[in-house]
Amino acid sequence: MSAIAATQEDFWAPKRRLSLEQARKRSDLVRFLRMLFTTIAAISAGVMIGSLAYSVISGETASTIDAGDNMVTMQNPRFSGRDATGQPYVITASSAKRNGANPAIVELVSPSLDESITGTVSAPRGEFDQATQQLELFDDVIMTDSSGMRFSTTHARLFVQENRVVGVQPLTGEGPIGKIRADSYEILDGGDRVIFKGNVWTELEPSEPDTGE
Amino acid sequence: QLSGQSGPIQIEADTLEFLDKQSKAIYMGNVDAIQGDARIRTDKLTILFEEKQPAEGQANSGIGSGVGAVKQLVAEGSVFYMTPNEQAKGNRGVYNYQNDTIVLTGDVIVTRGENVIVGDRLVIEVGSGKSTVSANSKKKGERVRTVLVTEEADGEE
Repeated sequence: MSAIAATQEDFWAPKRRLSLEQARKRSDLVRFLRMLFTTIAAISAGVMIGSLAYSVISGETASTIDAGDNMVTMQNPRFSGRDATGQPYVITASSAKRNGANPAIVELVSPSLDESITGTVSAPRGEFDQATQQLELFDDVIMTDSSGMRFSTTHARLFVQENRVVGVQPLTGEGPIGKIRADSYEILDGGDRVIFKGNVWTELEPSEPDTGE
Repeated sequence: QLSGQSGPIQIEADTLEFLDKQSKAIYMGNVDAIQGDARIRTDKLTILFEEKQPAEGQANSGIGSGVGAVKQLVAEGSVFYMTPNEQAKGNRGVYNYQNDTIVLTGDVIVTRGENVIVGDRLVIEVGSGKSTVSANSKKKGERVRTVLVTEEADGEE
């Protein structure tokens, strides 16, 4: 009778699809996968937080970071700070990459500097030395300021902290006062003094004096 | 204006220092300024501009933002002022925009063709082209001296 009962119980009892051995193996697999995914999640969180912390500390903010040819290239970086007189300045670029030889130097593509004395300075290429706070611009450097003066040259070294700009290549300029050409130039005293040297040529428009009528 | 003709003034020099807050531009070394048919050559030329007041509630910022019209030109060193029919030399020349006159002082020599006038002070009214030479001293030999070369009449040997 008991054999029949046992068969009937088996008939009604839910069939166990896995044997005890198989069930143990399955839980080991699940436990391993759970650990793997948790580890991956922790690592990616760490990378993200680490890159944000790095950019906050070094004053650079970047929307995305590419890590090609083992050099970190920052897209749309922004370097901000204050010059010697406390005036804020912001250097932006389309991308920036640390110089392999000297990590203090950041190589910039399409850098632009907004700053009180020269207004806006932009160029296709530049280098920002964070240690000396000097921005060197090359190729087609354009300086425009709020008075409407527009200078064009192929080189400018901006001593951002000292509010000083030095250029050793020829410069041409045009604006409300007139036109100018010179072999080299230097902007000093926060823009109050500008010295042009070598073959200086200017054309002034002596507008009619205010007659006060 | 440096000459009866208005228009831009072209200036060449070895160096130029532009002082924004003082509304001043200082040209140094082989200075050559030309406007129309008039020319000034000198060692140093200082241009004083009218000060331009900033717009309401704004500060002048940027190179040349505080600079208005040309107010005065001051030439120093060996100053030469040349027009097609007159050359003048002196140690200091001041061109005043308001009354349109050039005042040349210091060992002034004026030549027109072959005629020469020597004195201490030359005042040129640019618009009318009238020039006045004067001397500081009344002593003999130190007053205004003139050499006029008259054309010889035909037939006189």
